[in-house]
Amino acid sequence: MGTGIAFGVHLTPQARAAIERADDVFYLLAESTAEAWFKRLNPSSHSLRTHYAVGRPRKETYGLMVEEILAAVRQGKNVCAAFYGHPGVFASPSHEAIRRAREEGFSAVMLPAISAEDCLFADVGVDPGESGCQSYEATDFLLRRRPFDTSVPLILWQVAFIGVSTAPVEANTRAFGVLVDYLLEFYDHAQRAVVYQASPYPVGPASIEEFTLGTVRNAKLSGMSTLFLPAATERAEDQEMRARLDR
Amino acid sequence: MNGGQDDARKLADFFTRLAEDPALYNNYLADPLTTMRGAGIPENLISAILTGNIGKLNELFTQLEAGTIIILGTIVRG
Repeated sequence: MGTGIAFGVHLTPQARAAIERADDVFYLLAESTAEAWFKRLNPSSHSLRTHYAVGRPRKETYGLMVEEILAAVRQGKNVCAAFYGHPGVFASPSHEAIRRAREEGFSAVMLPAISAEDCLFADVGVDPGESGCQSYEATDFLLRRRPFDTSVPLILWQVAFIGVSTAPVEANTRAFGVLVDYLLEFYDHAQRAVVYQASPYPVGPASIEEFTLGTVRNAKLSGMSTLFLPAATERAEDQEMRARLDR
Repeated sequence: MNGGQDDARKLADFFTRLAEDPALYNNYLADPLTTMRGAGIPENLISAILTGNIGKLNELFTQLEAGTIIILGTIVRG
């Protein structure tokens, strides 16, 4: 399950019940300040934070988390694994833990929660129903040169850690510059670019910093920074398709 | 203990109480300034909270626990 982004106030009643009823709870919260709150929800709570280590590949870190969760499941316990945000969005270990638990014959479900993307829609005022929405992990976007459409809003995640596969200690500003240079092949320098971070705290607004694409490389990035580019162009209706629909 | 750590602990405790206490959270929603002043939050941090200066808050809390940045994400397939 997920705790949402703003600790405490984003927790759903469904998720709270799962935490309180579990024999064992494992949790990973972005903010160490949230841990005092979380531990009081269930005294049998263990932080997964201990698996992070400088230089350790994140893939290995996530594998260790999955193993710790599954070890408790194999003991026949009612186990709850709580991750910040939505447990199924940008969260490899939660998907993997559920897949492996089911493979081993255990019942496992994922409870939805508020993701960073949900917060962005609310805070920046984006409705994906208007003209769609493209949402990519930044490293994947670059490495695979994912096709995209400048007439549709573009959201790029994990922009501070492009090309970084270990536990990061600071933003990779050089790689962010590579991303900006690549985007400038498709957009004007004057294109609006928003560096966004949802508030992880119970109160206070999000951080919404406005740049142009030409200046955004100067942005001070945090671990939770997301780059948002609104649509730059309009796509005209296809008249032949319009005629087919109106027939 | 230095002043920065004192402020960080005070703010962390305030956030925890907000997360646990619906009455305090409602007080904050009704009057954030009075609620934060009543909790002894310094003016510079009140300003950071009200303006969404999350970077300043994060920086403050690293005084309590510095280390690696916790990133929960997706591993890009190689």
